Amino acid sequence: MSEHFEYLVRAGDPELVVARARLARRQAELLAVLVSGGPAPEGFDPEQVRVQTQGLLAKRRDTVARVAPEVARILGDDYLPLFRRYAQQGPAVGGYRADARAFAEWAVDWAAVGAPHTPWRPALERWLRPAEPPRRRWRRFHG
Amino acid sequence: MTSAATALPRLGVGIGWRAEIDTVVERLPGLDWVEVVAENLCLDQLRAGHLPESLRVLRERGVTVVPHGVALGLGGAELPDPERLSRLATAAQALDAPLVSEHLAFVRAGGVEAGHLLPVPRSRDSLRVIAENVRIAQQELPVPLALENIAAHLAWPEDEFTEGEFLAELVERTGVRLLVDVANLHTNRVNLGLDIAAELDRLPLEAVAYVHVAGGIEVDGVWHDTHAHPVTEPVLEVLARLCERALPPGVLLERDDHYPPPAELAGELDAIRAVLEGRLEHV
Repeated sequence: MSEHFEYLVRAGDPELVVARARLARRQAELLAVLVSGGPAPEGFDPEQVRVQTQGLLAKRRDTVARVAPEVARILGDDYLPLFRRYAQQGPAVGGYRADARAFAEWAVDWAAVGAPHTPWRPALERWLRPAEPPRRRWRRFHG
Repeated sequence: MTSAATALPRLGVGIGWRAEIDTVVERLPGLDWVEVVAENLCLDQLRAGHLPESLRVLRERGVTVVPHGVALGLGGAELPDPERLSRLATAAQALDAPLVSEHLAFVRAGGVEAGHLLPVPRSRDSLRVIAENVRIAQQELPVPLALENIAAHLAWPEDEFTEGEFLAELVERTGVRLLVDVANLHTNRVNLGLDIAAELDRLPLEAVAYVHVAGGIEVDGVWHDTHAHPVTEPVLEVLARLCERALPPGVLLERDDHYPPPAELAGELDAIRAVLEGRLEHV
């Protein structure tokens, strides 16, 4: 961080500090609705908010499918509707790979409760926890 | 240097470099430059002086590489993150880039990542905040910064400016350069009723560093800027309208998914070249 940057951060103009706080609150309000659903914040067009919510969901769903194509392949036609339900639980935590794993874990749990005989469940469990490679018996313990 | 007096480099016609199509990009005929998503570069490798092999090959051939950031969120309420800025600066240096680009957008708020570019409220209040963010970024970057207009699906009740007016204000206050995405202008025309001719008149075109062109698809009256479909004629028409006003120093084709055969990408680049030469062809 340059000295100039530190100077700017320290010498915050009070009006600007207030403007930042206001902007932070408004952006957080909108984003909370976009990622978790709920009524459009006051003053917004509800239809526009709905379309933007769909846009965020599609971006997340498609990016997860790109970084973890196996998950989308295993789930087949169930991928889209299940991802929609999953995304309603809350925003992604961590990167898209972490999101893909979290989604797969959620889908396995969902199937265990709601659809125990669904054909993709074993494959998804194997994707999540591939069998560990067999240990070499002759490996010696170095103490 | 970020003053408007600094000459903008002539970039020519380029394409977004993606790891999935690296060898295709290397073989595209007449390619002048590429853009690389800064977040996709490995910072430790860059610091050690290592570039991805394909980018190294392109650099050796004299192809310009411009880092393009997507996660800085200069339109956010928080001060720009020094680590993310440092990544952009490192990428610019390692690639010997003439400039870097980012978006007029916010990407996180209240501890939540949007995973996408979201429009900022275009009020006088937020203009002051974002102008300061841009100035901080300019101080931390070794090369000029260009800001891109985004594809939006919603408008803020606070909006006092159009995006073009807001960007013009930022240019005036900070000397920032512009990256005009003509596909995003088209998106906002379809989704939000933007008057493109009026918007082009509001943009200070002398500050344009380059232009983005991308494909998308219209579903139920909503335009989706997918970067996964062919470039359509309405988008090239926006490029043509912009070129009538001022020929941009560079144009870049963005394709991020469902990659077509190499000849199709080359054809889209040819269609862009034709527009720059004053000929709008069917693609």
